[in-house]
Amino acid sequence: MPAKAGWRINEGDALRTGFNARAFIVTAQGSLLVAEGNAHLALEDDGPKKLLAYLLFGAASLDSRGGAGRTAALRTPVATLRPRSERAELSVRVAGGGKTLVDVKSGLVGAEDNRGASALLRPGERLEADMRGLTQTQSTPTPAKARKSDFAALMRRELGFDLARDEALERAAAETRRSEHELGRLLSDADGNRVRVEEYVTRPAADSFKLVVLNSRPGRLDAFAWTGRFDAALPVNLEPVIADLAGRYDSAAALTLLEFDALFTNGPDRLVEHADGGHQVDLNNNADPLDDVGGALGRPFFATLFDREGLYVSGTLKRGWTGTAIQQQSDAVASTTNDPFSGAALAQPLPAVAANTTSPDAGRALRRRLESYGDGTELRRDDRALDAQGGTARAPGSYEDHEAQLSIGAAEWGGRTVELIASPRILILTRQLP
Amino acid sequence: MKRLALPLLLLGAPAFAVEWTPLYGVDALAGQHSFRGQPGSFSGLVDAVLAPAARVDESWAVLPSVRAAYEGVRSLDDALGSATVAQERMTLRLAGRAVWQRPGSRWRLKPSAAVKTEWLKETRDESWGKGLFDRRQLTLGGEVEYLLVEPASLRFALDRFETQYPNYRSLESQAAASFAGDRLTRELAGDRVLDRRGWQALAAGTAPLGPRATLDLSLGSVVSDFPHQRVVLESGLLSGDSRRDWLTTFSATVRMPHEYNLDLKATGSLELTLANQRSNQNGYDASRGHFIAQHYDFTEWGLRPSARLLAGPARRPLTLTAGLGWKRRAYPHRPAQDASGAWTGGALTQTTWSLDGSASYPVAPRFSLLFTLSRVSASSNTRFERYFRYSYEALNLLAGFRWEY
Repeated sequence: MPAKAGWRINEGDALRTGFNARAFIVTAQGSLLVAEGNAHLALEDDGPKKLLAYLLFGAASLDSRGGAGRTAALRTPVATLRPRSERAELSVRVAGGGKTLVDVKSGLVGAEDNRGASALLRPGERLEADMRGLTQTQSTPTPAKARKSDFAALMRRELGFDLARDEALERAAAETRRSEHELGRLLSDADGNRVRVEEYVTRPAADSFKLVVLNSRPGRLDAFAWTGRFDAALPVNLEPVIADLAGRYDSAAALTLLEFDALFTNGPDRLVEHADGGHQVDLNNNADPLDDVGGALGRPFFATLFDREGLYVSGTLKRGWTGTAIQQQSDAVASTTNDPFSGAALAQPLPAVAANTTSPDAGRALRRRLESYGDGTELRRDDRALDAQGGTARAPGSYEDHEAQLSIGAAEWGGRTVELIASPRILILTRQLP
Repeated sequence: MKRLALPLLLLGAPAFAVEWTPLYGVDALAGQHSFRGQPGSFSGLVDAVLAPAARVDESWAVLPSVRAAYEGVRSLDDALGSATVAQERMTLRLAGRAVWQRPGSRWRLKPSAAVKTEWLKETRDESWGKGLFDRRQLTLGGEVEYLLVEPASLRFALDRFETQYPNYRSLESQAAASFAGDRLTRELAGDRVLDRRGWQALAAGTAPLGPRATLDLSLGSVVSDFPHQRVVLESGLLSGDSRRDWLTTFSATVRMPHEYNLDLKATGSLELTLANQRSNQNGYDASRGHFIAQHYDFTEWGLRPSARLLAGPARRPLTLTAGLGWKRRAYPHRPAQDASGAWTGGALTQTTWSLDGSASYPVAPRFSLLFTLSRVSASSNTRFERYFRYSYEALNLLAGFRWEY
């Protein structure tokens, strides 16, 4: 029940003081017990000859009036404090685990721990006791020192809180970085340098979509874009459409790819492949046994063949072919004097081309293709499979299982190249990687 | 003479009753990081804090602080795991916090502000100041603390923050200018897509748990808006909505101190953690046209028993710590992938076990030698590790010193 001024505290009663409160108890001996704010103090014995109080937690002080056979004691969970002089003043603070701090202001005070060890404290001396027992006595810090020490402890605590406040934001930032890595936007090229990669689709028209791969290295931006136009409007979900680019068994795809453009560019330089006249052909049941796709013998496999194709280096046609509803690639006729799409006569006949593919490093998944043209120009291309740990993957290895790095150079580009890292699946589906 | 009058007057004036208490500390460690059994180069880390605390009067105190850190050894306990083997990080944080408490009051009010800059080199070709994930962060807010039985208290904090990545611009936004004639970008594609701003809130408290233990509870939430990052639609295009993430964290720690004798004390702890992220952003795998709704959502549970042993004199004990950690992260909407990257049916999960230990040996007042050992083993049900390593083992072995006041 709430205490009131002037109340009589009986033996066995306990006082619990609130914050910012203080209780003064005048004992039967005439001693003064003061319980500071937020303390628990019990009066166990309060006779004229004997005073015994128990401080469970919090702070209290005792101004003891002894002598003439009178004894007084103030107990804590780990120590008992007994004034040894006729008058003694002491203050006690009990913290977590019963840890006790005693300061003697005047008189002599005996201290005993629960194991029987004892010490005699003089004015100005301080003693700590805990579950281990009594510690060595020290001089009581001056009020200024104690104030400074308390302030340092408070500020150290605040500093800990302040530094910890960043933890959640640090975590959010780390998650952002993690996501960028998981999405494959941060890769290392064969030389160990960072390459940023973004891959996404756009939809330039209802019947078209564009696969875009962007790469960034310091000071340069490279791109690959493949645009496909189909014979009908595309669904919202492109997954089956993209899957069918590789061809499909048993039946033709629901949508036919009519034409495509594949662009490699570093900004000033461009390599463009354009094809149209797309139609689906059962490769496993046409006249060319060399284009068959694995599986059961004769099982239909439909893929798209194109009637016209042209390869342009910075706007100049390098090679192409034409045909009419071709059923195998060998039906196509190489263009020589006419543009494969318009049929218009070219200013100069297309030069003859010789292609050569080599593996310059037998231990690594690196493929080099060189197209040499009769006019002295050439088109070079290195295809690498990148190892996830860095560098070029070991050979033999499937290019499909590694990120692909392409390096394309043309005589017309004056030593510049298009450098591209992309998902191999994109390059394989768009027929840019064999 | 007149020119000197003002300075002399100021010097002669009674000093304002400000009491200064400097707090400082330095940790310096060097050692080696190894990943999947491959030892990395010898490197180190330094973390220094200086905080000249000032008591202005009986109610007010201010705590300005500077923290500078260099980290040349990959940390094993961040969310990134060991995705990048090489990493160097420098951090500079300037902060100010005021503490107001009326004498005798249970309430403490603490307005605060902090500016933090982080420079990060994730690859060897990145130079300081040019790192892709260099970050600037401004935080402004405050905390309210309600004191229970000391040292127990309840704390509530709210901060407004803004985070910028000055070197990160989306490639798509750059392509709009570089390849203008080819129309390679989507409508609404943003520029600084990682920049974000938002609020973070925290509720935390410490309370005794029976006569021999204490319980620490903490619940925090970070709401991040990405004003330049648009939400991806099932079509692969971008919507008009911007991305918003909610990251909620919870931790509960029980600590049990125990004293064996005068020179031997120990504390056992058990920590339970939960992190949950919800995002309106989706994922899109362009190579497959595969759309993943709520791609970034995850839940991560963690459990960590640990022990701390103090041996020797109370003022300068030898301190040994050991801990065993377990974490399991699950992405409820993101399927695992096979080795080729094809999406499989089950949700992506990652389990991480960690074992760490440290020893601190005092050799002089406020100066200790430090030794730390950390080992992490992560496994996952996804086999696609072309971009990010979900399964790995990594080890850090470091030695150095701590100097603190």
